Amino acid sequence: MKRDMKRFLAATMSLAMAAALTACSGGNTAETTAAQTAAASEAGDTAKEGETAQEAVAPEGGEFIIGCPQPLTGTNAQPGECALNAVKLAEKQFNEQGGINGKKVVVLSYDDQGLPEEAVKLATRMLQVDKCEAIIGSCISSCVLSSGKIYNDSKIPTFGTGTSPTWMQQGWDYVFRACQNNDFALPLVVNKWKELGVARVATFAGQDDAAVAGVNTIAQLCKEAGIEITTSESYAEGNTDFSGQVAKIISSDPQVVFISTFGPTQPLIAKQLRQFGFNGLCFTKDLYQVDALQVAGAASNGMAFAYPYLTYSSIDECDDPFIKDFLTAYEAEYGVLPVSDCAYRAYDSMLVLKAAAEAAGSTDGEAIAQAMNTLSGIQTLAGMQDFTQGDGEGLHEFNIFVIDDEKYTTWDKWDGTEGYQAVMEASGLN
Amino acid sequence: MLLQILVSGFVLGCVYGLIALGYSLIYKSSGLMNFVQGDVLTLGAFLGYTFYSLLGLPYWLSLICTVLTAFVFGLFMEKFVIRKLLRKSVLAIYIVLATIAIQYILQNAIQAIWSTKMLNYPQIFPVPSVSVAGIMVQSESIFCIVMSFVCMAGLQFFMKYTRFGTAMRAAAMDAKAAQACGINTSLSTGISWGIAAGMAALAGILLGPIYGVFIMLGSTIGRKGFAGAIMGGYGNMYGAIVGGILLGLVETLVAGYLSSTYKDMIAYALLLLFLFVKPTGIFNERAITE
Repeated sequence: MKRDMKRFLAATMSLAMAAALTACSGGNTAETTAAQTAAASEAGDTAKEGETAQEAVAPEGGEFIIGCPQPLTGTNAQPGECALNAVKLAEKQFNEQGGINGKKVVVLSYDDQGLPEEAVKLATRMLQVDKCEAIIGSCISSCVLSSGKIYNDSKIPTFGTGTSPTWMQQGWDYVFRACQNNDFALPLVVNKWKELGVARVATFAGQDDAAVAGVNTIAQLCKEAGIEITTSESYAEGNTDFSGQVAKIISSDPQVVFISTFGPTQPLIAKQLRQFGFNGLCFTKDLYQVDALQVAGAASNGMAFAYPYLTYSSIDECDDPFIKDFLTAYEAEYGVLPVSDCAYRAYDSMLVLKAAAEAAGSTDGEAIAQAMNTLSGIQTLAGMQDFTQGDGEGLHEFNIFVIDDEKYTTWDKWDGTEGYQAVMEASGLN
Repeated sequence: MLLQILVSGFVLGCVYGLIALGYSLIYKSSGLMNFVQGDVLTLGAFLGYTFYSLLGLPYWLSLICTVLTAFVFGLFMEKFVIRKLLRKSVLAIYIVLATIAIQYILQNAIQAIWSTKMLNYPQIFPVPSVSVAGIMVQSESIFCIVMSFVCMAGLQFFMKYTRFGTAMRAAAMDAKAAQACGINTSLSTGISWGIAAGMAALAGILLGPIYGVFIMLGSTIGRKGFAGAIMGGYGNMYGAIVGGILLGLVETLVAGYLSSTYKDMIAYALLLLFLFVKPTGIFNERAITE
């Protein structure tokens, strides 16, 4: 009986500890990098959280606290880590320049795991416990969608770093975007298809908000343009084999395949499409990342996308001086270049937030939100941002990039080359 | 299209089968369940990448080093976690929970060591793909199929016809009786966990060139491997491969002809069907009752 009681107590204690640790798994600390967050022991996390909470509850009046929820573990840890690194880099640079409006910038990081329910939990914690005054994140649109209302209702300026249109369609006055809205870029893609005389398109999409929104937008635009969607295939997060979907796509005889995915899925679908014999033109909903290019190699050729910028495997490949400066600073800080453009998205969000706070002359949420709608000509990695249209979006112009001979190039440069001819022939677009 | 799907499903099924072999081996030799297999696969892919790409070792040596490192990992996991829990006479469910905990620790440790970056595993063979019945199949996929069948036959032989394999089965059936007969049950269980980890790592190093190397590589494959092991007959080596292949074929056929959105739902519904209609699996493997 006594032994049973001991076991029961031990089990109860374990459950209680597990629950406590799970609740603490946000793992926020201004000192924690993504990799450290991942590696931190549960006990260590708890101790650090205590310190952070203490700092956040009683800031010395000279701090501007920015919460940065990103997926730091799980499938989307890579873009989350890149985004957090960029935000931390901006924090360092701003503080070296005297902070924002004389206040020291303090970035607190949180792991939303790419899960909408986790994002909601963290939002409450960031606002009520850590007293964050602005938010940069998440790069997972579903997370921004689930938590955006909480920030908006609390009048906290928030810069989502996902590319789905959905969360900006909610009419939130305090939620902004300094990166691509796929709904703004995809019409450019369909216009290109019309120009090429594309009549049949197949789609392949994930099941997250941005992927679904991307494929829905394409379906709508194709309908308006009289382009037939031959088949719409999808996949579950974490799957690595898409042979059934690819076989179905190829048997539907499309001229172009539209791929609405993110992160590690990009090279997998590229390789499988090429291996199964589809060598025609493919468009991805956003940037085809540099690491995907390295993994898929020649299978990446003929992958195109409309986007504001590229990621690079070396700084020398970059010819944009502003991006080059960022990459140099990023590499100096972390020893590597960002493989995900989420770093660019988050860094640009920090630049715009700083500009808005300086324009407002305050770090007050309402003042920043009001100033946002007057901002234009803000130099960012994505080019000049203009928020004066009042839709909360800063970017309205994009380029079409394509991969040729395992390198990025612009569509205009690619047009008419040998690689172009081969892909067009494979697509039946000659 | 059908032939293409069948070939792809077969390749995928062999990967599931390799993972399923590990589940079955551990169950057969210790009566326990281990949910770390999928993440050991990821570990194997990263280890293989490190030995082959970073350290520049020949592929065969990288493969051996990867499998051996994973074997030691499995052995240590059994010795320092599972064995210690067993000595406390905890219920089997606590062992399962411990393996789930290790799974998350391993995932984050891999991320901390190798970062979240997706890594490119170079091709192993000079010929990127070969034609099978007119269908182009990646050379590494063929290698994966061959290795799955070699492992299946080797393990079945080891468990049935070697003294150590017999000792392992005896330890799983009745540990006390086995100990009374002079069998070192701790060692036999430890080795079975080591072999299972080695096989998962082998799957990882084989999959690296096919899918690339990233932190969540093995998470879904691990779950599917478990389902495959049950369908084949949990604890049966032939069943593990056959169950894995069945699952791979069902998945790709469903995605190709019915719905890609619901292919996982249908695959797991099949697992439920097996549990209700034929819980002993295709090979009629009886569960260890205690």
